[in-house]
Amino acid sequence: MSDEELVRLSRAGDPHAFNRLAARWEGSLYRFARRTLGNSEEARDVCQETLIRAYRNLPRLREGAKFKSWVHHIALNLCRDRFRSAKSRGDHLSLEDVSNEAEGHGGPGRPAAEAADGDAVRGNLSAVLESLLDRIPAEQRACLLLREVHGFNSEEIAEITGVPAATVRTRIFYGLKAVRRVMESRGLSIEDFR
Amino acid sequence: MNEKPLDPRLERLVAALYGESSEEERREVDRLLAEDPALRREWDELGEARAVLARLDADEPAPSFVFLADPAPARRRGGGPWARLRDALDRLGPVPAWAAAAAAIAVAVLAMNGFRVERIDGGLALRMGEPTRVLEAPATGPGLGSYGEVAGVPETGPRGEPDGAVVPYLTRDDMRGYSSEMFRSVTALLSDFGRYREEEQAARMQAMYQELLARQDDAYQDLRGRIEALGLGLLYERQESDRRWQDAIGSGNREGAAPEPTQPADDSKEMKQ
Repeated sequence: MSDEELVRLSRAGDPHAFNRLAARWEGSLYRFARRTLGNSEEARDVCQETLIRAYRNLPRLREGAKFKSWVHHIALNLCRDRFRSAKSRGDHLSLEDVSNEAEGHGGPGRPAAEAADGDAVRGNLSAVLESLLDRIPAEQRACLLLREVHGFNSEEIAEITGVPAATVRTRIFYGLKAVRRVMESRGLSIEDFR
Repeated sequence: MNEKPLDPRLERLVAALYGESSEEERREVDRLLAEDPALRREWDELGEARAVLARLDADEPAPSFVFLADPAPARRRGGGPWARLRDALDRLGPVPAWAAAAAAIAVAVLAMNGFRVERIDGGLALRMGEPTRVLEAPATGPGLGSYGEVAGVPETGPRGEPDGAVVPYLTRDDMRGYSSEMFRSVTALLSDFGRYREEEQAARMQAMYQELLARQDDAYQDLRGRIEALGLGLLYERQESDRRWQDAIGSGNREGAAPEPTQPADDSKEMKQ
C-alpha cells in the first residue's frame, strides 16, 4: 500500500494505517537524525517527536504521496532546533573552519601524529565515516545524507530543507569537497574504503 | 550559512553526477569534461567522495517507535499462530546459516526440557518444565482495591486462567493496549494543554482589557474632578474680585463727595444789590 493510501486511511481514522507509515519510515528517520546529530539518544527523541508531530499534523499534509519528504522535513527542523539549543555535539564546524583545517593541515607531508591517528581509525570503517561526517557543516551534511543515504533527489531535498534546488546542489558540491579535504587531512584515500 | 555561489558549470556537474540532467544537459557536461581537464578532475574527485559515502550503512539497525495499538488482534486477522510466527520471522530478514543452525540446536534442547508454547488471552506464553498451579489470588475484601479498577495501570498481578489456574504474566496484547492508551492519553493531554493555554491567554487578555478600561475611567473621573475644581475656583475668584471692586467703588464715592452744606446759599440778596 502506498504512502498516499495509508495517509488517506489514517485521516479517515484508521490508526493501523499510521502505524504502518511509522514502521515504514522510522528507521530512515532515526538513521538520518543520528547521523545529523551524532547522538543516538537525541536521535531517538527526535524520531519520536517527529512521529508525534506527523500524527497530529497529518490533516495539514496536502499530498499524501509526499509523506516521506514531509516527515524528514519535520525531523530536520527538530535537528536544527537541537543545534540551536546547543544540546548536540560541541565540535560543530563552520564552512570556514573546514576550509582552514584543510589548508592548514591537509595534503601530503602532514605531521606524523596525524598519520598515526589515521592508521588508528582506519580499521573501523563505520567510525571513520562517522568522524568524516562530523567535520562537515550541518546543512551540507544533511543534504549529503538525504541524497546519498536516503535517496532523495534535489527537488525533494529542496522541499525538506526549504531552500532552492540550486542551493541543494551547491551544498552537496561543497559537502563532497569537504569529505575529500577531511580525508586528505587525515591521510586517508579512497582505497581505504574499498 | 554563507556558501560561495557555485559556478554554473559545477552545478550542471552535480546534476549530471546524480542523473538529474536532461539528455541535452548531459551531452553538454560530457563535452565540458572532454575539453577541460580541471573539470574532469573535479568530476573524478566528486565521484570518489560519493564512493566513500556509499559505504555508510544504509541498513543500520534502528529502534522501533511504533506505539499505536493494533486495533485488530492477531486472532481476528486470521492465519493462525503459525502464520503469525512466519510473519514475525519474515520481519527479521535473512538469517545467516550459522545462526539458523544455532537456533535449531537451541530449539531441540528446549524441546527436550519440556519447552512449550501456550496460547493465553490472545497472546503466546513460553513455558518450561511441568505445568505448575499457582495459588489463586485472595479475593478482594472490604477496603481492598483491585489493579483492574485503576485506569491505565498495567495489571501485573495474577490473572485467572480458564481452568482456574492463576499465572502472573503480562501479554503482548496488554503492552500494546497500554502503549496505545498511553499515546492517546499523551495526545489528549497535549490537546487539552493547548486548549487550556489558549483559554488562559484569552482570559488574561480580557482581564487586561477590563483593567485598562477601569484605569481609563479613573483617569477621566480624576481629570473631570480637577476641571470642576478649577472652574469652581475661578468662579470664586471672580466673585471675590467683583466684591472687592464694588467695595473699592463704594469707598471712593464716599471720599470724593462735597461736604454737607451748613445753610442754604442766599442767592437772592446778592442779586438785589
